[in-house]
Amino acid sequence: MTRIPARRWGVATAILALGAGAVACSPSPSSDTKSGSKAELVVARTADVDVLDPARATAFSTTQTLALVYDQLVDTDASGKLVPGLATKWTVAPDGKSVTFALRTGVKFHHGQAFTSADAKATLDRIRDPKTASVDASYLANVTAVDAPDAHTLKLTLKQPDASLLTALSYTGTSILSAADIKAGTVDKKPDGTGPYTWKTWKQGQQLDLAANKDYWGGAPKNAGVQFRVIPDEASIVSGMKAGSFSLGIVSDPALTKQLTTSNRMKLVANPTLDYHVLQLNGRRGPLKNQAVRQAIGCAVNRKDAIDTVYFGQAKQTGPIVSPAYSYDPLEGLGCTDGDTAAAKKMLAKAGYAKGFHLKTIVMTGQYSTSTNLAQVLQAQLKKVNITLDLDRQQTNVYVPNWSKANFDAAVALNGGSTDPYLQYNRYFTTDGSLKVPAGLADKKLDSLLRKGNETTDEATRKQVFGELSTQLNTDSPWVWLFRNQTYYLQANNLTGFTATPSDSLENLRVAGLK
Amino acid sequence: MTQEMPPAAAAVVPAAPRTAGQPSLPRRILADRNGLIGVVLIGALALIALASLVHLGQDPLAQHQSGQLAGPSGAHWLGTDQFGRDIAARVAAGIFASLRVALVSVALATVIGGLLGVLSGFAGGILDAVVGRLTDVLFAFPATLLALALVAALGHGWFNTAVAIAVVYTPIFVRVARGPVLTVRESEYVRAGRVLGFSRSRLLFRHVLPNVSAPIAVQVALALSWAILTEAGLSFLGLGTQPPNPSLGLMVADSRNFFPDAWWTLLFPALAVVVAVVGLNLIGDGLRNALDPRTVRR
Repeated sequence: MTRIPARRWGVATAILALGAGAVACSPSPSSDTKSGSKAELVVARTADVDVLDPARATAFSTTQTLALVYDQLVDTDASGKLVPGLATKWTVAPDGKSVTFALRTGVKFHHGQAFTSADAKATLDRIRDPKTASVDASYLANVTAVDAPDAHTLKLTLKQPDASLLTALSYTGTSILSAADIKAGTVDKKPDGTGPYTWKTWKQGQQLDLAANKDYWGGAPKNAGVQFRVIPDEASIVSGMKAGSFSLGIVSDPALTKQLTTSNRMKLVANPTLDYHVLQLNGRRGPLKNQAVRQAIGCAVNRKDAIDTVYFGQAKQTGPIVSPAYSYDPLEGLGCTDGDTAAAKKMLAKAGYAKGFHLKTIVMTGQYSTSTNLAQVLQAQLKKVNITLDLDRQQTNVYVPNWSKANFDAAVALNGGSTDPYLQYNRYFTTDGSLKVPAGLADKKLDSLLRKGNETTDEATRKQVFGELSTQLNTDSPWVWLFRNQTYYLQANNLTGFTATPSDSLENLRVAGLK
Repeated sequence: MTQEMPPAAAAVVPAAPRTAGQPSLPRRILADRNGLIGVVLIGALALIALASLVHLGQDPLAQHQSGQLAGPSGAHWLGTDQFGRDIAARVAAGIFASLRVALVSVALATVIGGLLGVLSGFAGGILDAVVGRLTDVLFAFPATLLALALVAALGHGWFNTAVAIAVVYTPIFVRVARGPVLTVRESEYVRAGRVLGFSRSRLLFRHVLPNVSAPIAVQVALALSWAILTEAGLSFLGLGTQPPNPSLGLMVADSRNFFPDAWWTLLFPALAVVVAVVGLNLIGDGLRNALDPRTVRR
């Protein structure tokens, strides 16, 4: 997912309408960023946090935020390499069926209680518990037992070797919670982690304030805190940056970047991400039950035109596997070329759908600005093969539940990618995947290939297996894979130390400050 | 595109009955300079909207991948947008969409508000008190905010937008209709009708209503312009017409990222809104002058 958004007065107002496009919101004077080594960073983005429980977080804005409040057992550095987090070291058993973690000492939760293995055990057991309905449960599908032999040792027993487990334990979804909070049932009320920032105040839909955790085990943040502002309109974020109201602005619309040449108050960093745009098809409904129909949709879509129109060429076509380490032909298994309308028409005619059909298509507004534009392009392209996308634009808080329950024929989605193909898809396409419902299709071949790829650490074998997985996904065509875009970070000139990552994480804010 | 509740045309006095030899109302409007300009402007927009309806131009939804953000040319008179869609066709369809919402919403508001106003003014008593308080409640909300809330509750779609705007403008028509009725119901010819035993409905619909229609007619013209602005405002905010369907407000909103390099994406839809609003206001001006007894006597 979408980590998964009278009269003369009349004349005067009409004239104002002309200027409406030109005038963006004015910044509040109180929002000016202040210089100084311990100033608060003000981050502007289009979406707010939607849930407070890391185990249920899917929206990008939520995982970005909770990652600043919580820690994970394992962390990743700027290059994506696994490094110690709350676990200082780990040992994998020779048969690969258990992993033992040595936990960090002297770490405290924000409420003051010391972090121990009991907290890690309670957290992982909670994620595995079906009652939690964690969207990340699939990451721990191979874990059969979690033991805490002493206060600073944690042992995971696995039913089979799991090559991606450590990477999964670095995700926000597996953030370590306090056992006391879990027992008290307050996890989704007020975030309480061991991370570099403490939860301060939250005005839902408007503003979120995090305060620096001066006692953070990894070193106190180089700023006093982070304030997230929800600015639904990306053009207003750009205007705010030009006015010096924000330290960092996060936008996704490449059209806005053209306006930045006129400002000397910020710099633009275009950051390629692993997140990928797809048209998800619900293979359990109507004509979409037919594999040939789904393939025809995949053939009719012209990805290059979509990239040129929506992202002005600033995106990269992708197949099912987005990891740069596993590169395959993006259309292998689909049986056509990109935008092959003739092939699509033939497939639809053969399947008995030459006259086409309608698809209820949900489109999320709020999280990223280009969703509606992409939906319009897909609608126009599929119209050529008589398939009508009936667009239903929904805010994030409406879209996510509908998406989760697969209450759609098709969904225009932006999903979080991964360097590990198993982690990218095990939640969707394994038989017990925690997101198998919105995946829209179940196929034992996909399940088998995913498990096979995850059982081994031999890169040659993994590359071959995941290549088969990519081909099989195109053949099954549960989704139409489109492209990976860039996230645009607008950085105030006085912002120092922040670097963007391919995962769109904001964890680097900890080492950022204002000069 | 925010706005306050438009002032009602309460200042317009009931029209004097047409006398023999006096020009017809349309002629009087056309004789007024403002009215003439307004009729010409709105007539031109109506023709453009009709042309879009019968598909005389290009398809407003057709995308041309090779012609994104192209300036005005022989092929695309007003240029193209981000999707390579013809802006002339989209502006024409947008005018049709705006006029459709404006006409339906004002028709609803006129019928419901006018009827309630006339009835409450004529009947007085509890009905007048209830309608008056309901009107006060609706007036308490800022017009755009109320329309936004209603569209959010009713859902997207042009008809829901029209209903939301109608609800916002109904209290204005209640007030505009009620005021003159209070004067007319006490006039001698109505009293004479009562003495002669005319039924209440005959008095109301044959003697009162025709004589309070002038301020309502002027208010219709003014409300139409405000309805167009409100529809554009709602679409600008993403709550009115939904993409890819064209709407003037939506086109203005979409152009914000491009207008420094592609001015035509902003200018033409915004110009259409301005022309529509100015035209309708000028018609209202002409209508008011045409119906003003002082003007008529001159």
